[in-house]
Amino acid sequence: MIELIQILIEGTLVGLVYGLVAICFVVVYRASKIINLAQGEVLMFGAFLLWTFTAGARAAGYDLPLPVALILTGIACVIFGMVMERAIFRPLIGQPAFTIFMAGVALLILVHGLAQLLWGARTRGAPVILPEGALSFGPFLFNTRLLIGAVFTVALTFALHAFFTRSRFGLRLAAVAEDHTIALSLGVSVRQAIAVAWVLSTLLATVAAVVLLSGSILSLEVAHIGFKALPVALLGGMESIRGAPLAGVIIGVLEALAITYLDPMTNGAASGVLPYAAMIAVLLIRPYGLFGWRKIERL
Amino acid sequence: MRIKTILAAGVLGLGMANAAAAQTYVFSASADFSGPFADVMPDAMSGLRATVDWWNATTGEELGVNVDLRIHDMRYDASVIARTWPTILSSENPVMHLGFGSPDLTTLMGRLPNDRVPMLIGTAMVGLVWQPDGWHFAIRPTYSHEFAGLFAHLQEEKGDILRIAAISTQNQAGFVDQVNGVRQLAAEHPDRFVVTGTQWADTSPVSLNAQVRSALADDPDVLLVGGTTAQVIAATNAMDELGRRVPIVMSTHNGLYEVAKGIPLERLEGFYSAFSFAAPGRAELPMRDIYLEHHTDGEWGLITAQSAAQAILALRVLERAIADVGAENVTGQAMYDALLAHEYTEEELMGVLPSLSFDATAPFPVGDIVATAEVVRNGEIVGLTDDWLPVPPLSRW
Repeated sequence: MIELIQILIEGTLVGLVYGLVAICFVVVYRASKIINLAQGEVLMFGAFLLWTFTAGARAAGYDLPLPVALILTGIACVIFGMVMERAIFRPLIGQPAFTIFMAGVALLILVHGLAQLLWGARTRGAPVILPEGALSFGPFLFNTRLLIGAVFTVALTFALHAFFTRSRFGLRLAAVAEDHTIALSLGVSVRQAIAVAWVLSTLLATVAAVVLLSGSILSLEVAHIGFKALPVALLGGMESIRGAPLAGVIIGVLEALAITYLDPMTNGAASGVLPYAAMIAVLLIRPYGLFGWRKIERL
Repeated sequence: MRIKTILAAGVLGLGMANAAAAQTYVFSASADFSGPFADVMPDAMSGLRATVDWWNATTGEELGVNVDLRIHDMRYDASVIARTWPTILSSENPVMHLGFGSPDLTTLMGRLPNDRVPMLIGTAMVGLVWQPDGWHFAIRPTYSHEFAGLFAHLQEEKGDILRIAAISTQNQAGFVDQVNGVRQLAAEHPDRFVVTGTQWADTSPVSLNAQVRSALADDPDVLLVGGTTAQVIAATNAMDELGRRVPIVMSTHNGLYEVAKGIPLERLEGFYSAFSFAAPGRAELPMRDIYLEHHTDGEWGLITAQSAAQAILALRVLERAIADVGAENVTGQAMYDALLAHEYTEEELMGVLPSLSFDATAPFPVGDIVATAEVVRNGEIVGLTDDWLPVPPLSRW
């Protein structure tokens, strides 16, 4: 029983990391109806920015205090998010969904190549931002890094939900998510809303990178997490902030259970298949996801 | 003016005559300056260049032969290799290709017998391409052979059956193959080895706690993590959190030097990296002396030792081919024949490789296969032993 609970704990913590990345998808989709296929690359780019202002600056002889490095990373992420929105997606407002989809593919390749151009393809140590080790509660262990990430994800979920449903600006974003034309006719600046969503998503992706990579290694391969989190966002519902972490927990727990109980019998195949089989099963019943809006346009 | 012109023409003519006297052969080489191994590639290519430069200035000069090393950035990408190779073949006419890793193998192994160009790769081989009559060869045996050499050493030290747990990934066939080879080892030597279980994970896992807990439940002596650096780091973190300590065995691509970029060596105490060329820090290593004297860039290290080993074997094969068919008649076929027909001693390989011989039954050295290993002791990476580690017999799996 203790082992089962421990598995559930680990699955939940890992799942909430997936949920955190999935929230980035949701934030962009809510405002712009764009599924940002390059979300993993955005996360990777943010991680490289963080490395630049921490370990990179230290190697260059500028040992910046961590708060200063984090602020500089945040500023760089804001600029990066604004550039992406301004240069690629703003000109595509009102264009067919397929055009925007292909722009997302192009962005994925572009960001990947840009990161390789700026930082090179070599692996490097990711800065230690979060404490390492585990906390013990009775017989149960909680990975400190993932636990902090989980607490942050839950807090962020409530904060973003309150922002989108209670604040004036958040309601404007919700109006944009509902329909660009109606939002424009109501005097809501669609451009501004979309820009804010992209900046917010980029910042959140960098936070997710911190949780994922703190004390580990950083490479271009980190971007793969994006495709792991996209099904989580689809399961939770592309418009649902609260659905993303919940779906993340479902996927994470199923994955952890499969690793322990099914993988030994299936040569590791079950943990890769089961969570997504469950996701497809849910989407067959609720094609808009667990908490998504019924009126959505899918590619 | 006329005298100066005549003198200049004379000097130019002499130079051209000398150049024409030296027979030039092309070694093409795959590099990865923009893919997953970009960080180690400058050192890797430095090892090739320094060895070829040394050979051209010494043995090549005596033989009247010059090796032209042509390096191509293949990006560790099979599609790049597939579209670049025909151009290399037609424009450079190489007598040997120095490959790098699985993309070269999977892309070229099928066509090399028709192209009549042998390929020699510096990375370890995989059992998946363990087929007879190929023109693809490696200076190293399979990963599983290399692990087997280390496991045999550890088993002898323990004096009892060595319990091996593995963490790998299903995402790449080569990593699955590593585990299959080690399972084969245990099946063939049940009195020496047992594989307690295999846990499968992502190549870049968020956490490996569940897998490591399952692996440690079987009380293994070692934990084999031959896949990625991220897996080794995640497994180390998981063991620290679980309060357990079992030595991790890794290869070179995800080895101690790579892992140390993310984790201080103090946390890797007692961990191993297994391979089958000389550890770069070995006390007596003539190849290192040659490199240090002739390199123009890069630094001596694990990847440099590997590429220097690859180059020196290729050059020794060229010497034998010249002896067999003459300095003017070396072709890819002659190189292939020379590789299979002769034994190459550790001494002539400048200590960076053990004595090797090849035949058509396998794409890697046959006979008494040996390996080596490095270990972290007192916070430093050091060679495990001064001698090579004999690899127990291992049948094809």
